[in-house]
Amino acid sequence: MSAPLLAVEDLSLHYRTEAGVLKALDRVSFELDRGEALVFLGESGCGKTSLARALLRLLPRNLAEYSGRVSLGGTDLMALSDERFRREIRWSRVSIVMQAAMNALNPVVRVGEQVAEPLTIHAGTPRAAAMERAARALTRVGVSADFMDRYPFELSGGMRQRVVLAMALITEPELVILDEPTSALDLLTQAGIMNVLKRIKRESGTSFILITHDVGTSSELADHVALMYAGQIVERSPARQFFRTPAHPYGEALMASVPRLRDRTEPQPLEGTPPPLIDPPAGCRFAPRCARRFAPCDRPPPEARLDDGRRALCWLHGGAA
Amino acid sequence: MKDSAPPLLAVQELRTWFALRKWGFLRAGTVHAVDGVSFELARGEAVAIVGESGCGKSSLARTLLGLDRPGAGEIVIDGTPLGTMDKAALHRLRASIGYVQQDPYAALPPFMDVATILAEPLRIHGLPHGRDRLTAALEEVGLTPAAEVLEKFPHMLSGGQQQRVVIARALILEPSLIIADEPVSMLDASVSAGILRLLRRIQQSRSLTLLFITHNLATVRHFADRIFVMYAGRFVETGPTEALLDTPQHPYTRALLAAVADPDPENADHDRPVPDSEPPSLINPPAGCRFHPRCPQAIPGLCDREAPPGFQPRPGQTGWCWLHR
Repeated sequence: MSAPLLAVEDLSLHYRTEAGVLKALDRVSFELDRGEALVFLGESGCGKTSLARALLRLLPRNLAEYSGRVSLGGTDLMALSDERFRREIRWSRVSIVMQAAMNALNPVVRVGEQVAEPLTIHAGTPRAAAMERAARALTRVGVSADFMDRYPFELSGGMRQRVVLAMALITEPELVILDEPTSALDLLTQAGIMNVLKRIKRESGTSFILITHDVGTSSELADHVALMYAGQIVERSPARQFFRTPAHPYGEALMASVPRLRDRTEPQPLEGTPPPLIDPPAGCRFAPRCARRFAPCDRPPPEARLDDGRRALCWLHGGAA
Repeated sequence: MKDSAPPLLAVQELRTWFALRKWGFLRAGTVHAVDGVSFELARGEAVAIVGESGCGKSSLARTLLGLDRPGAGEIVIDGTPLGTMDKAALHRLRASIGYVQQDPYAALPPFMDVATILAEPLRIHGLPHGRDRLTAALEEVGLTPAAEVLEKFPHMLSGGQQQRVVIARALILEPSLIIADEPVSMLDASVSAGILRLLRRIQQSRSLTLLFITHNLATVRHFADRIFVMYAGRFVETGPTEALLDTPQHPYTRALLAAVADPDPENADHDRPVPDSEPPSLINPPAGCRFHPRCPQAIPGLCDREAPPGFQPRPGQTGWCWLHR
C-alpha cells in the first residue's frame, strides 16, 4: 500500500469568543489517497468549514489554538512558515472552491484573466501560455472558451461557479477542497456541476475533499465519508457502506431525516440540538440525542473499527477502555 | 378538486409583470415573472409549487399575499374578487392568509421577544393577546416550555426553533390559507423533517389550505396532496402528488426528478441526465413552449412556435406539452 496523499492527525482549531474558547475542530484525524474523494458530511456548526480553513491555513484573528500534524505527499505542512505555505502549498498544491465563491469574482476583470490569475500571479507563467491554459480549464468544466472575454455579471450563477472551479483546477493541484460548492444553486444546475466533478475525478488523479450538509449530494462523489458532529469526526466509512448502513447512531438518524424521492418512508426528524462547542460534554457528544444511549456513553467513546472498513466513535460496537 | 364546494382560492390567467427602468445604458424591459397562471385551491388541501429560482414561484406567492400587484388576471378568495375589495376588506383578508418565510432569522424582528412578536398580529387586528393565547400558540408548534420561550429573543433560538415561531405567528390569526415559501431550505436536514411534519399536521388538524413553495421535489411526497410544476412564469404540469412523482408527463418534470440525488453510493458511478443549460430570461421568454431550448425531445417547427396545449393523461393530472398531442 502506498502512502496516502494527505495524512491529518489530531488537527485542532479553536476560536476565542466572549463566552470562552470554542473548539470548532477538536483533534480530527483522517487520511486521503491520491485520486480519492472524501466527503465531510455534517450539519451547521459541526466544524466542517473550520476544517477547510485549518487545512489551507486561512485562520481568523480570534485564533486560540491551531495544532496537529498535517502531511501532504510527505511535506510537513505545519512546519512551513506562512510565507512558504502561501507560495508552495496554497493554490499550487491545494486549492479551494468556497461556498458562494461565484459571488466573489472580480466584477471588472474578464473571466479569462481571472481564471488565469493563479498561474500569472502564483506561478509566474507568461500571459499567453496562462490564457491558453485558462481556456482549456474552462472547457473542462463545461464553459465555452468564448466566455473568456465576458465579465462575471454576464454569466449565470451556475456558470460563475464553474468559472471558480476552473480557477481551482488550473494549477493542477493534488487536492481540491470544495466547501458546499453547489448549495446556493438550483437543482438542475447543481446536478450539472456534480456531473462535471465526477468527470474530472474519473479523468484525472486529483483528490477531492467535499464539504457538505447535503446527504444526497455527498453520495454523488464520495469514495469515503467522514461524518462530523460537534467538532469531531464520529464516523469514517467507505461510501458503499455508509450510505446503506452507517455505523454511528448519528449517521443513522441523519439518513432517516433525509427526504427521498424514490422511497416511500417518511423522513424522521432528529430531536434536540448539538452540544455547545465551548464546553462540550466529556462523554459521547451525541449521547444526549441518541436513541441507543447506555451507561458507557458518559465516557469518551473509543474508535471502533469494523471488519468492513467502517470506523465509528461509539460504544455500541464494543471497544477497549 | 372534484367536489362541488366552492374553492377557497381561484386564480384566473394571473400575470405579474415588473417593468425594468431604463438606467444609463441598460435597456428597459418587462420581467414576465408570472405569465398566465390559472388554478384553484380547495379547502383543506396542501399544494406544492415546484420550480427553479426565477421561475416565478415566489412572485406568485407574493401576488397572492398582496405584496406584489397583479398586472392582469383575477384572484378570487372565498368568493370575493381581490380587485373589488376596499381597504377594510383587504385588512380582513390579510388576517385570513398566513405567511411562512424562507429565512426565519430575517423574518423575525431581532429587537422583539417572542411574546411581542406573537402578540403583534393580534394587536393589529384588535384581538385579545393575553399570555394564554400566546402560550397556546407556542405549544401548538411544539415550542415548550412556552413560558420560557416567550421571553426569548430570536437570536437565542436555533434555526428550527425560529422557524417554529414564524409558523406560530402565521397561525395566530387562525387563517384559512397558509403560504410557506421554501420553509426548510435554510435548515439542516434533521430539523427540516420536523418542520415539514409540523406544517402537515397543523394543516390537517385545522383543515387549512397550504400552499408550499419549494425547489426540491424530494420534500413533497409526504407533505402535499397536489403538485404544480412551474417553469419560466407558467405551469408546465399539475397533478396529484403520487401521479406526478411516479408518472411525470412533462420533460421538465422528468428533468427535475432526475436531478434529485437520494443518498445512494451508486450515484457516484454515473452522471445525472439533466440538460446542461440554464433557465431562460423572463424578459424575453422563448416563443412556443418555454422549455423547448433545453428539451431533449423538442419537435422543431412546433415546440419553438406555438404554446403547447394542455392534455390530461388521467383525471386531475395535466401537462402542457406537444409530445402528447
